[in-house]
Amino acid sequence: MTEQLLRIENLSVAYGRVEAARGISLSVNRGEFVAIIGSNGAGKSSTLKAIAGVVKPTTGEILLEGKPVQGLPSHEMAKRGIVLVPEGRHVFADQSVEDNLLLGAYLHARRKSRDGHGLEGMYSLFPLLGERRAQLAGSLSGGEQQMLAIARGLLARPKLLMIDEVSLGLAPKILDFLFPLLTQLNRDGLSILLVEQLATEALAVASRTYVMENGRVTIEGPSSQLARDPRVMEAYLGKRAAAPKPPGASL
Amino acid sequence: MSSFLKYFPLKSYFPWLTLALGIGIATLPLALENAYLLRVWMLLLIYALLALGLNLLVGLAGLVSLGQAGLFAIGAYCVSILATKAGFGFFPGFVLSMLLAGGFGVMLAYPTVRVRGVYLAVITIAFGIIVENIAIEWSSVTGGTMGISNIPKVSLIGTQLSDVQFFYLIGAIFLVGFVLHYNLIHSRFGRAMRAVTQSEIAARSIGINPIFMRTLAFVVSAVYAGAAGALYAYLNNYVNPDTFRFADSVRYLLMVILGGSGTVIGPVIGAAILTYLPEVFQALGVWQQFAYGALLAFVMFVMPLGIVGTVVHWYGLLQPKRAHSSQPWPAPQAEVDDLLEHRIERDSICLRTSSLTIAFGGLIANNQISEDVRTGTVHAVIGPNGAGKSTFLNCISGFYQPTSGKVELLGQLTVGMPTHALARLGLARTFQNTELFGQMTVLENVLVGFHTSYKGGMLATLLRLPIFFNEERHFRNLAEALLRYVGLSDYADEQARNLPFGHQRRLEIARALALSPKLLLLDEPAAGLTHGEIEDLKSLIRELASRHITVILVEHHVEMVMAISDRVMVLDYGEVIASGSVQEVQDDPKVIEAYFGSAGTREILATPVATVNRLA
Repeated sequence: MTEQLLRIENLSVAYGRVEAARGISLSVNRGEFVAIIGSNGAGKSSTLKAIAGVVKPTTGEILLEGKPVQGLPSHEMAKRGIVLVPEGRHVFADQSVEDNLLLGAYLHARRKSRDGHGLEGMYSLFPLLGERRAQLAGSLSGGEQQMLAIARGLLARPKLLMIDEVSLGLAPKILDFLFPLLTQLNRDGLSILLVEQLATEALAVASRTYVMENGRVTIEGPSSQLARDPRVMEAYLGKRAAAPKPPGASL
Repeated sequence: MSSFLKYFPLKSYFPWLTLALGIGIATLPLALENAYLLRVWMLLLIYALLALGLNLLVGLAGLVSLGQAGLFAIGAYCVSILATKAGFGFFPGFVLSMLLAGGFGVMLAYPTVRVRGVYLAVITIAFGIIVENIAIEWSSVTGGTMGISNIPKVSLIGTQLSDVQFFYLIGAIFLVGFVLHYNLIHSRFGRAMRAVTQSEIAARSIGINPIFMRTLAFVVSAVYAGAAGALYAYLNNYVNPDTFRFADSVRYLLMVILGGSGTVIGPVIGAAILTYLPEVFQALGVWQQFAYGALLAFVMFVMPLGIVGTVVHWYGLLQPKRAHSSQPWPAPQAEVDDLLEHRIERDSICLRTSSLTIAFGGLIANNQISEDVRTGTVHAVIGPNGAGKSTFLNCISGFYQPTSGKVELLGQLTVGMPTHALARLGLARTFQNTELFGQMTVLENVLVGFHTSYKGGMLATLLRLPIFFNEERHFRNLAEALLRYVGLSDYADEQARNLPFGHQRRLEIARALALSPKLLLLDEPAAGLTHGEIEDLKSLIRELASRHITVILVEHHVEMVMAISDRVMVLDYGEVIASGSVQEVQDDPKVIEAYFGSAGTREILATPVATVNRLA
């Protein structure tokens, strides 16, 4: 059996009186690409935020490489290798692209010289960012901001990269770039936990998928199996699961 | 009986709180053994009045004033001068001092057009310094550093009031101020002020004029300060510049923050503590200031929302948590049918842009866009990220002023009109990243959308005239119906910021519909929705169109755009590269190249980098 990187047990999260996640258990193996799908209010984002330490879980255990890490603040989680690319991107709008990336490498700032942070690597992965390195991040288009957010996350050298809604507000052409990119990164050894509304895309890229409904995990398994599961097809894939996609249609 | 109860909602805490304060004030003089303590209590009520006014400014409108002592001074000097030099009686002088202070409130509100936050605080500090300086130097009127003495004791109906009677007068004025303070907070005006604080953009988009709301807050807080100043002058029978310093302004702000800004009773508690505490600490001798400072720091550390604010927060934490669930939408509601009924001729021109151009510096974000949008149609705007779609929406809705070109809404030229005026014409919108009033409840978010539909004015609100209750009930029912319509009833009492992203989008649509819009702009409504939710959204949009509501839809979810749009306009680099029916646009090679990517792109792509190069 492959080595378990992250394991969460019985995790619950609440905001005010709204209980968002109720007793979630899931795991990610080293080098695995796992997705969470489900409707709004299912608790997907809350689960990611709890793992990243952005919100404190009300109950539950989070184990990273077997060690409990629940309740740690988010910067400690980042130090331990759990990095979140948040929903809505949240780039530092009034700083340049390059400074945004340097901030991503903040944790490793002392180890290497400026060139050694891996910025050039990011610019070859995302040539558009290279062209715009001196531009303010706030002036980038939505797609470019998403690239920047992912690149910033990668520079933190995560053991686990968590992405909340990679597709949010992005044009089809950008998605044609980003989803294969994630697959590529995973093939190169990166463990990824992806929350995504576009179930078709999520099932295509992730090897294993969890379906969340109303704060709980209801279905889990290999993505290929879920893609054929009638419950998933009806609720999350619609007719498009059966019919082939028309050329140029949306994701 | 029921109509009587309507005016005294017994299940609310407020009438009981007011009653308790009233009884406390009525019995207090009986319990005090000396005249000095009575004086301390009078001072306390005067400061409480001042703090209530400041609370409306800080807690509701989110504006920090460190010049409140200046307004307090204006009230105090005004009655003093009128009483000693013009022989005015108490009430005429009292009313005039409130009016004068209110006038200065308008003046202080003016800088908010440009300045906010700490920068505004600096301006209010400057105001306080100027008032203090005038009080010192304009000695022919103000008596200079000596001040004005010999202010007569208050006389009513020819008899001079005793200390206890004057205490009751102050108590009565305080109670009136306390009730009006509550009535303003719990009204559409209070909601609108909070809305402007939490998202000015969203407030403008639903027809609220933020400048008016901030001016209102400044004026009301100035009137309270003026009233308090007038009472203070009569209490001391003497005024001089020493009591209106910057440090006093700071203390008044502390009263509000310590007690809990934005709460009903917090400012009163804050004023009581900061007025009474120095009396208690006098026993500590040289350590008096130290103890005072240490206690303040400790309380604010333990109770960061102020005393009342934190207690309310703790109470909230004790409430049982539960899972909330949304319902499918749109769920037909009779009230919504009435609300959204429009009698506009279908196929008339709802919106027309002619050569609309907007440039930011050298970047032309929209270039010569000429487009007709017909009533009751769904008009989609698509294009790559950064093509100028949101800019186009911002131009139409008045957030940006176009560099050149015309916009006509329902036959009326709208270039130059502010957003809130356009909203009142019937233009509503949602935002790409959702702009909700995060710290208001889900129901309040919709309710504030009805702000401009109310007819009852400020007087009806403050005096709680019947029209206030009727309208409040009417719009509350409509807001609840709109929440059922979008399937969010279960969340009604939760803070909007606690909603999942997709539900925030629904709430934004409900709030926009509260305007009963003729033209609805939706900026990426499907982003963050799952397949099933998008199906619901599609039927909602088609249903709105069938009610003759025109919809302009900016969206990347191509399948949805193609399924529900009557016409599609495609933007690339700020220019219209195609515009027409779904079929025409779908087959247009320029559109395929710029937006969709060629057929089967995903399979062909060997490396992602190849795509990026193509994009660049």
